[in-house]
Amino acid sequence: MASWRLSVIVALAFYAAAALLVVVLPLHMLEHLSLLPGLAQPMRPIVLYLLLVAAGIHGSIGLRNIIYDYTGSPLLRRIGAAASLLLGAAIIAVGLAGLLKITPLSP
Amino acid sequence: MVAEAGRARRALVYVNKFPLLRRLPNNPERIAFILHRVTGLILLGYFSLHAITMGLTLYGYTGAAGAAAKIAFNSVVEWVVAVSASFHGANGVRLLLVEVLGWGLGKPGIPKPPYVSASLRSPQRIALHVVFAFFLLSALIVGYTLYKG
Repeated sequence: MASWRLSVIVALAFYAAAALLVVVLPLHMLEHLSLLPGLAQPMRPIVLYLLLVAAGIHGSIGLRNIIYDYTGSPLLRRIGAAASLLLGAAIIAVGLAGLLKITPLSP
Repeated sequence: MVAEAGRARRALVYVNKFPLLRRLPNNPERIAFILHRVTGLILLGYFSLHAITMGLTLYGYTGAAGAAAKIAFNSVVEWVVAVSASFHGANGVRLLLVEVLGWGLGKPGIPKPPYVSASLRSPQRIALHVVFAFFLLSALIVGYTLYKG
């Protein structure tokens, strides 16, 4: 795949994950809200799954962007990109393993 | 005059040494850019630890339960993370509006003295100040809530 096409896909994934986080992160925070019972939300597995995947993707690409901005060497860039990808993959894999153990994927 | 030149030279050396702090005075976009990155790294650090320790705990690895509880229920960590999330979230929504939808940038025009870009006189600048106000307000509210609770 051409590198510009991959860059566009990565940028779109970054923004899509950010937009998803704007919705699911407040929902997840409201699950733990004890001060305002009227606003509190029940635990929903789908929120946890979406939050995990969106935050993993957004965090991994965001870290890669920061590394790219402050690194000029192609080798260091490649190492940084691989490390951020591994971190994102590890977060999503471990989180999903834990979530699937306690709750099936259902709304 | 000589003292002023010396001060300017020292400031330049300082700025060249720390490029992240370049053009900070009267530049809220730059401050927001730096804060967005710093809060993003804080959130990524917290989220990595939280997701991995919770994932391991839920999977049945009880050794991670203590670490998970320590990370999730520490007041200072909670305050830093909540305030970081409020700034990163609010500024992120502004960035989505500006970068994806092109909202609030103003119409481009012919450059005239004093050569202030249209985007710096547009709604996005007001949105930036709203983000800062929200950030400070959330820091106070979260701090008060954690202190009382």
